[in-house]
Amino acid sequence: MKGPLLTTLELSNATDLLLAIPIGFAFGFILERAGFGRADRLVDIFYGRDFRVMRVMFTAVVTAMLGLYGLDAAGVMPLGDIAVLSTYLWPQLVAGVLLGAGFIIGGYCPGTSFVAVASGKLDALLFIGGLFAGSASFSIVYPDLENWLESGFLDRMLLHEAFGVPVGAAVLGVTAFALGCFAIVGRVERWVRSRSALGGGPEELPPPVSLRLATASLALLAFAHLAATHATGHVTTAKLSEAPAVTASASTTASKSSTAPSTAPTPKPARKRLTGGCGG
Amino acid sequence: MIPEEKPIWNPYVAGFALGALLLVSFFLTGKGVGASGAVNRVTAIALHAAAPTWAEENGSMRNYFASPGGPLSGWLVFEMAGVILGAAVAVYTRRSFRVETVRGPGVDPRSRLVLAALGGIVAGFAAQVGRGCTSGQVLTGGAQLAAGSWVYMWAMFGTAYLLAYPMRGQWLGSAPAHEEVSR
Repeated sequence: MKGPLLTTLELSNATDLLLAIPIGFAFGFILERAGFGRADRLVDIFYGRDFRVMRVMFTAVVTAMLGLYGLDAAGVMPLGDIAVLSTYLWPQLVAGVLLGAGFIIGGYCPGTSFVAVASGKLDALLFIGGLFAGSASFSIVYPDLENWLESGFLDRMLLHEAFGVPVGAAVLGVTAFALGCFAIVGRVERWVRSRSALGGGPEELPPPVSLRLATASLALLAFAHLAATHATGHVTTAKLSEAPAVTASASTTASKSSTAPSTAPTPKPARKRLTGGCGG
Repeated sequence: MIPEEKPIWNPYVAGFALGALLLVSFFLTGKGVGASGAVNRVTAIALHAAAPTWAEENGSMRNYFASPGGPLSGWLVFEMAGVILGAAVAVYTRRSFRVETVRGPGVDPRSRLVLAALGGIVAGFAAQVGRGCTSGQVLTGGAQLAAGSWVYMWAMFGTAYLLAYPMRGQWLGSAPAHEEVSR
């Protein structure tokens, strides 16, 4: 079976929207269980006291990355067929700086604030109020930013393309970096706590053996496929190979419900196009 | 009497679950997760109520009103509804519901709430500039190894580390979270 199922099974737009609910449900549940519903625990990473946020995020990124690149190399789900985010260098750089500031000032990021408000955190409620105000301010100044927001456009560029290295090297590099961080942060935590009068805090927890086995098998599978495709000269790219999109809309729903206008002939039946469904 | 809170997960287990969920989402729908896109769509409704013509002509909202279902028919709106529901069930089953203002001992609740709102404004604006927040850019784009998402990630964590020292009054001195964690 080839993925994503939305396109291969030609599922309807309504089905897509319905699928979003259980996916979101699991996302919210996991974020709460990860302990991301408290501002003090989220910002602990910035004071070196508890690197839980880094452990959760890097494990998630590496797990999903191994899966995505493994499926791409195995030919099950090419990266060009999913909604890979386009790079807009300057807006993303500025947004990262601003979001980092909002995080340390407000104590949350947008997703976690909704999880925190579900457990009765009043500061999260105020943060969400701010989110709406910030979002509205953006819409108000949008006409002035419109051109700049397209600056540094590099299409759907992947890390290995940016660095000009084989795809396996990028995947291996990110994996090794995450493992290196996990090895170091425990020491940092102990050092910071030994200098802090308060001390205490949660004890460092190693990953369970079953999880080590699961991720190691996933990594083995992914790298075996990556090595095999590297030998055959397969090129991994997120660039869309099809004819220009019929509708270049930022809205997922708008682009999917599109009917091809007669002025834009396409060589083959227009496939449903997955534009970035994430974020703004 | 307040019932005892149950422990949170081992961080690596939570991370693996999050990564696996992201992979399932990609395999089913071709999309990852997000959060701020839903905020912008709900905001659009409020702005539309205040100034309909202006909202429909505004470049950041035009597409929402052009689609048949309006702003609320977005994938991320349904996904965020799921997030709130999922978090509520997680809170209920972990017995972690407490009405409180999370803050360090060095800051009074009122200042903490003002800072939370201020941070929210900055984050809400930033998420629209960057076409996503920690969920859509750092997690989803990070796992795809999208180049711009990695720039976003480092800019975000770098800035938060730089501002951690000036902002220490709000956070430091607070007792770290003491809950027990399951292995």
